[in-house]
Amino acid sequence: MSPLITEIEQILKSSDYKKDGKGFFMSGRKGYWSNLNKEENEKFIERLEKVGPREAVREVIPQYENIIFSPRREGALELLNIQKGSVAIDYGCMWGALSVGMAKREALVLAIDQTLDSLRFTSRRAKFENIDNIICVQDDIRRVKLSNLADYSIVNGVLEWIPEFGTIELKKYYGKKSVKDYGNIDPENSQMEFLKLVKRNLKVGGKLLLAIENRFDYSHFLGKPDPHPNLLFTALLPRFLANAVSRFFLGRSYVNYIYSFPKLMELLAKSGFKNIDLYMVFPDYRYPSLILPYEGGMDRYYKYWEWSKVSWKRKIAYSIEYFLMKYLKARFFAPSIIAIAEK
Amino acid sequence: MKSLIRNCTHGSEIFLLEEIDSSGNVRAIFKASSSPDGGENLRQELRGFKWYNSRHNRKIEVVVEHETGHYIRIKYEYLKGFKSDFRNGYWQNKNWIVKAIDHYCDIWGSRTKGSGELFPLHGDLSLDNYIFMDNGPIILDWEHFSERAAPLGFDGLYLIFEALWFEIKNKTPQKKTLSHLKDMIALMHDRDCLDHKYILNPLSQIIQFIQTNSSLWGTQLKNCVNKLPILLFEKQAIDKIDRGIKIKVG
Repeated sequence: MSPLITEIEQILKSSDYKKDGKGFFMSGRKGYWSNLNKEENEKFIERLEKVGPREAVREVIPQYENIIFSPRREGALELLNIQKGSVAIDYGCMWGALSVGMAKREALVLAIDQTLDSLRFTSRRAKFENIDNIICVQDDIRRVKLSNLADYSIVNGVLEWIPEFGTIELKKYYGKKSVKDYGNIDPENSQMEFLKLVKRNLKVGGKLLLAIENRFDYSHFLGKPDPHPNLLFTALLPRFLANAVSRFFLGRSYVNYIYSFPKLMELLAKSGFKNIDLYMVFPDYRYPSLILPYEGGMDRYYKYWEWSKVSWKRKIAYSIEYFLMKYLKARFFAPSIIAIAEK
Repeated sequence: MKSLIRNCTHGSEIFLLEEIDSSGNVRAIFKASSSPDGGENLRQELRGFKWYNSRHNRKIEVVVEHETGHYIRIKYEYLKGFKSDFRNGYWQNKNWIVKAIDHYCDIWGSRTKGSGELFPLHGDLSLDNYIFMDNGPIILDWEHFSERAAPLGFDGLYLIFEALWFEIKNKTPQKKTLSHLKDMIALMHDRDCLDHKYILNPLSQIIQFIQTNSSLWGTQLKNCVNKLPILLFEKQAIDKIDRGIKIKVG
């Protein structure tokens, strides 16, 4: 075990995490957020113990093979210039696509997630790929207190879920009616508090990589549903109207806030980050084909898709995107945002 | 700031990035991969550039920035020059093709030492992989390089026929195009840069070479059928083209 791993494990132990027999650092705080229902996860983990990670995915959840294993997922990590011996925290790591990517670039990664089953997979995948620099930590990411520890923080597709609480089995939740009382929660404020915590856990000069959908993604105007509640146009509506629509159709408040480029910049600045660089991401941050600087990157935009490989609906959407970006330079409507910000 | 401009395209597992300064000018190019296949392609590219630099006065700066068992990142100097649009096909690009083939002969020509009848393979010598600079062309993208792999002339012929594919697909080529193409093959022959086996039926010969040596392209050919567009020529079109370009040799 490297001295750095020993040192970080010591810090985790002194921060009240208990290392269990399988090497997971446990917070004692229970939680569940997964694309899979609990019973699906149980079946998946059972299979995982018998066969390799890729085989288990192919047999039990083949629809997620790409989202877990595609090297395209790691594209954004190239913006960070990751150094050997650095420490990274992947907040809400799920199946570890980016944790594994960071570890391959020789950062020591703390893969943190509230869902133990997701960590079990991440840990098993790491072992299978001979990666020994990932430490799995089970915790509510809003309560991780590891001040000045990390050189890099990854918040990938996570910020919008911060105001949520309780068990979330996405299949049962996404676009489905589920009466829920959030009390007096202010989603933006809870997201800002989380960003402040992420900042506290970074070393001075440490970098955050944050990826999120753009509230004003051009395809929201074309009828693509708001990606989290799965409702039409709620991303574009004023928040109070989105809230009313969400309460009517889903029985719960609209809390999965996503932002425009200027608003995200403001949120990060208010949370104490500096040297904030924003990037436009096409066609979305999960499988980026193009990541271009918001300032001065529009000239680099080009037709990145292959006509023969996309559906006619996508062809129409891409044609509109091409016109908006190439000719009108309408960067404000890019589909997703990546922010790199410094403590 | 960096821009990700290609992310694992055409079946590859490689990230391609540009570093841009505050005035929007490109300062450097980066390629990286965290997968075994992508890493192997980048290591092949390093060997390719080393070979190319050894045969060329203009040395291209290529530096490995970060390499681990799982990951490799390479930094390349940015070469400012003209890139022709290979999708415009043969005839519109004919002047660039002349320059490209001339440069090919300079690099691969009679000075080349191969092993037996096998010579270094670029493996993706497309017009798209040429930068035309004031002081001559530069060949890029050596990800499929192999030291002793192909008969002499393979890559040059590939370049010519790829340009033809984008012009005609499976239709009949114009006479003027075929005549120019024939001149290019004759030039390769005169410059001692064409294996004798390619004098007859060059298109079917190079397609056959790719099909019987597909391992030289790793998994990329399996992952992306369009990777080498000349494989999309149909039998009838191949025969017609080969019949139309018989060259006379002395």
